[in-house]
Amino acid sequence: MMSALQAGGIPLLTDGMRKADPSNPKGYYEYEAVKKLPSGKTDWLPSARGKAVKVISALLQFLPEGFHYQLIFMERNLEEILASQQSMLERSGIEEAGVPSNEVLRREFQGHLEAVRSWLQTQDWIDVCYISYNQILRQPVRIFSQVSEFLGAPLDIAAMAQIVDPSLYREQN
Amino acid sequence: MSKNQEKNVIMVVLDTHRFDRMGSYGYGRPTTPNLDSLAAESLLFERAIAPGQWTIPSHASLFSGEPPAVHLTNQADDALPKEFQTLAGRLSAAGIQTTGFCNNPLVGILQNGFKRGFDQFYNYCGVVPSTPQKETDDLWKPLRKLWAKYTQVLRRLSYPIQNTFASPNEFFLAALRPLFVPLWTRAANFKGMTERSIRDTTHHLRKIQDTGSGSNFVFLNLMETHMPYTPPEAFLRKFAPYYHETPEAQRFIQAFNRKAMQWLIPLAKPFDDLESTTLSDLYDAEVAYQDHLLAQLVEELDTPYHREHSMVIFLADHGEMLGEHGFMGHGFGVYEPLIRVPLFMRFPELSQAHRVKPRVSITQIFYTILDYFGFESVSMPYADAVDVGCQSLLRFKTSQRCPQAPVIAEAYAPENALRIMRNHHPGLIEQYHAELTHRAVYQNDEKMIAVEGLTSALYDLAGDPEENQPYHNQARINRLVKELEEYLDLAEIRRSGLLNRKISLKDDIIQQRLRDLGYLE
Repeated sequence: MMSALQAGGIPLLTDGMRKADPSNPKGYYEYEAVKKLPSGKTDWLPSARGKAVKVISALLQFLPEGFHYQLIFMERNLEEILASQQSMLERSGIEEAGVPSNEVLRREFQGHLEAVRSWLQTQDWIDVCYISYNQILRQPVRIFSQVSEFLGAPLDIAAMAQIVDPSLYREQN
Repeated sequence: MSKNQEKNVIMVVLDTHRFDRMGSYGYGRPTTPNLDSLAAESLLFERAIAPGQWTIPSHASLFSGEPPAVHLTNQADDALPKEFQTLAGRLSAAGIQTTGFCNNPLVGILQNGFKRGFDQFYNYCGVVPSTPQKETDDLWKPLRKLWAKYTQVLRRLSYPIQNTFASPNEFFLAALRPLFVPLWTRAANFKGMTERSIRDTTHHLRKIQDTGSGSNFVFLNLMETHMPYTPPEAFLRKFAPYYHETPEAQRFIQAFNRKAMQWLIPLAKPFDDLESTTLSDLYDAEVAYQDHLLAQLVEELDTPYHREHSMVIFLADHGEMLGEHGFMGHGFGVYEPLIRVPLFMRFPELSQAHRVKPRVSITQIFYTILDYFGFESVSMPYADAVDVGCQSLLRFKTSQRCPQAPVIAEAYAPENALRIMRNHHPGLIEQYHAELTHRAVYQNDEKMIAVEGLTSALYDLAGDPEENQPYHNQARINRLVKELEEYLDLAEIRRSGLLNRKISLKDDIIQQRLRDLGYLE
């Protein structure tokens, strides 16, 4: 989604510190300061105005009030997410200590996502558009048009659709 | 509010002030006659412990009432989470006027939440200081207003730039090069303006007295005893009379004052006798100079009004290592010269001076001040409300019986210093276990220093006050380890309450997974 937004004409807030690797050959499009949200360090937020920045669901709750956020919430089949995470860990050589079973992880992440969804419903200052990763692969033009409408910005839909690379859809369920 | 109802608290943080360099704590040299005169009529805590080893964690504790393991504001680029209602914020909300006079850039310039709740905050450090406006006649007023606007804009522009230097990045490393050190220590007022800030604070106290402007909380942070050491000539001659006749001593200090990297990391080789003596004497000279400047403030506090209406608290946020155990400055370790600090307070209800022997933490100052202003309990949005009376140090005057809480100091490794060591002295990291958290736990005169996941050493502070001879007693270690574990468990519960306040992540599992994937710190 980040590369698609960029192709569509939305500037990104990234620092390029996390380099592309076999798990994400096109890069991570991350901004390191985002990880400091739990500590309350948010002085970078004004510089994010008008840009797209990647924030994982667990950190959304630490976004301070006082800004208006447009949130594109990426959803994906949970089994695929877990398989993708597992592949990432294996590729990076990280061995998890006392790794829980997939069943436990699935249950925990499911509960987490439900909690985040329910929390988002109560946050007036965050507009949310839920987008299915799997749908993008099937109907990119329709989904990106939806994103454009949500953002209220005329995006280059054709350029966005060209970014979609089905070869990166590796953890199909 | 009538004068009889007015209550004030004046809290002076003597940044980087060792307890053992004060006459009131047994020092033989005449370094602190003014502070000693006030201490002599105060409730003096002989064994006050700082919760952290440097400015950021200690001030975060003073302002939040939480230990470093809970507030997790331990790095120069950390910020106190907004869930913590600060001391100044609580007081200001209760209608008490809160004013800060600050010489430490880590407190006054960084956007880390420490200024939250102050109605007025004056910075004497940084490229563009903000100081109280002089009261002038009508002729100069418009010009002064214009100048104030201009400097305000400059400050707005300069603060984000100065904040950049707080992170362990290339800017920070470049600034430490000897060529640039004089630039930021002098031009950017690294140690602030001690004399002016004391004068302004004194003037502010006089104004409180003259105008009867309700209740006040006044915070003053002084940095004169911080490195670099450049005491005025008269104090240099008094405390290091050999200095001008000893070229080696001059060369050493000149080099030391330029090599700011050395201030932040442990020593690659111990100081020799001359180096050690010179450094110690110049530190004394700075202590004495600051005390000399404090004379006018101490005199102001001696007026009948302040004796009847004001609680005066002097303390240090941490001490300083001057080569002991291979440590310099205040980046690493939890030895006594670093974490044991001066603390004394005088308040109208104190009928006679008293010295308190039990160990206390300066984190308790948060509750002591609230107690003095009449708060009975404080609510925390992330945990149970806290009974102020039992945390307050005033209970040593009222003899209120409360369970004795453990006093613990923690030293989380500062990332900035680690970055220097990784680049320039990687061997020191392992030698000093610099990447690991060091903690001190006490039981009477017994002290355990625990290096996380590695070792625990016991010291008998009565027989070995310099902590040179660790000894082994497994039963005692087990007892103190248990106390430390209980403290950390409790901290974990409070921290979890804070972090999971909005969404319960249940998430040792999720957090660990996201951390492994590189998505969380």
